[in-house]
Amino acid sequence: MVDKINNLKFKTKNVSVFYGSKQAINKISLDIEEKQITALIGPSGCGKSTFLRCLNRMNDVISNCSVNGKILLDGNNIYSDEIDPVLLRAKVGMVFQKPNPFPKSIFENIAYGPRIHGIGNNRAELTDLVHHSLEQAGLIDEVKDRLDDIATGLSGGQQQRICIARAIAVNPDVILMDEPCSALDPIATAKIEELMSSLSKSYTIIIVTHSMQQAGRVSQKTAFFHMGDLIEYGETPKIFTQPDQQKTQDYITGRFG
Amino acid sequence: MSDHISSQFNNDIMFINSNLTKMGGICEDNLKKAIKAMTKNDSKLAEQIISKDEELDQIENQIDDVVIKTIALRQPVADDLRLLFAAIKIAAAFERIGDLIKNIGKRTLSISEEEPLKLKAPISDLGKQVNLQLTKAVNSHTTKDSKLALEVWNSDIEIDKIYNSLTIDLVAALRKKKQVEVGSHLLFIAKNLERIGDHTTEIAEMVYYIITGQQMDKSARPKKSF
Ligand SMILES: Nc1ncnc2c1ncn2[C@@H]1O[C@H](COP(=O)(O)OP(=O)(O)OP(=O)(O)O)[C@@H](O)[C@H]1O
Ligand SMILES: [Mg+2]
Repeated sequence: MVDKINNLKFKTKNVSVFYGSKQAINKISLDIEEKQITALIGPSGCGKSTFLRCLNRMNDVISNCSVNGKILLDGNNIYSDEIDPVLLRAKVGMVFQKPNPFPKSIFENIAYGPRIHGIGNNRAELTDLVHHSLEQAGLIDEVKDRLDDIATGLSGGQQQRICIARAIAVNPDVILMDEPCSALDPIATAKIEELMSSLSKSYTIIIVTHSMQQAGRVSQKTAFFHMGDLIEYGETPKIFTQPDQQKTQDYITGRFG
Repeated sequence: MSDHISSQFNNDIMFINSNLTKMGGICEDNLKKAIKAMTKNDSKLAEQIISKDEELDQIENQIDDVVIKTIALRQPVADDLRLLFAAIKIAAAFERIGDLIKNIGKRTLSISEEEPLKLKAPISDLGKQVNLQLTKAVNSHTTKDSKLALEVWNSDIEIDKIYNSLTIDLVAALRKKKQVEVGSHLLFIAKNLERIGDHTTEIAEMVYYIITGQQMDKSARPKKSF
């Protein structure tokens, strides 16, 4: 198999994160390819979410958290002074483990982001954008007649796709997903996974998952973290058939490490 | 292989491994008896061999069932996945070896009593050589020895050589004595032994794959027999 050469979206170099004096991740250097799905796997507490939060500076809002090292998005250092974290978080959107729509209408959930970023100047443009985002999130047929209904009344899977539509609405490049399916049934999970695959034609997706099968089904690249270290990073089929590192093998096959 | 957190998973893998070893043992034992039955024209022994084949079929089915169940329920990966994939192929190879041995038994029963002992000696030698390879292949699986597997794989070429020269001699001898019937049985028996050698090589390839994750380079060992 010849490795496909893709453009790099993110380049991280020696990224370490501390909560107070406690180090959570240790010198992570990882290149993330554009318009691909990259999975981050590893045992609880190994630093997956911490690493993910570095990529859109969500760690900034945690008071005792400090980030060292370099993170380049399209070649630009996202921790430099010129970068506005709010704009960065629109460009690098995030979807969380528990669907967290606002307790407002479906329409308002999607329209909120574009409004504060000044995308869509009038009602007609906003309506278009909401429809388009819901369409991309594979949700339009299910909700188009009830856009004024409150979003928190939807099923968990639908709420999660609302959150994805909300991220899409502000025109991001990257979507970060932290265990997006862990609260969903297999059908809702399959729909999100299918959605991820189609979204990866337009967006770079990075997903944290505890399901090895999910990582195998959706991602092209997989990174295995262990106790704050990046142990192995490579093509997903290779990681799941012939991992190079014993620690990776022990983890993915469910052995005592 | 058997240090998973799930003890049921460990048990299933142990079941597969021990039954593969068992199939290997039956094949070795049966092949030894088949060679003896042929050489001594022992029809009772030949019949025993034929009946033993059924057991191999049953064990193969059991292994297949456990593998399918494990894949469906556990979605195994890495060395576990390689082991399960290889187990199906190894079991199938043993089953085929069993069929070929059974066929040797049947042909032994058809060979008339005034059989030419002299013609059988080289076939018996070939059989012993093949059985030695089979033993090594079984051992390479049991002890997870990739070097031994590689050794088996590399020596199949010797079996092909012995087989090729044996058939030439056999045909020449038969032509002289006009023993068409016994001669064709003996040629088929020799061919069966050579095929058993090939299946033994497949087993070695799979053992190597389980251990290393690499396929052996099949183009490196061109097949050179009739
Ligand atoms: N806000 C915080 N304050 C202090 N320590 C934290 C904080 N967030 C995470 N940590 C610590 O940092 C380490 C990495 O945590 P992180 O949440 O990144 O792990 P994870 O791989 O995402 O785990 P999980 O799979 O359980 O979500 C852990 O030891 C955790 O306790
Ligand atoms: Mg986490």
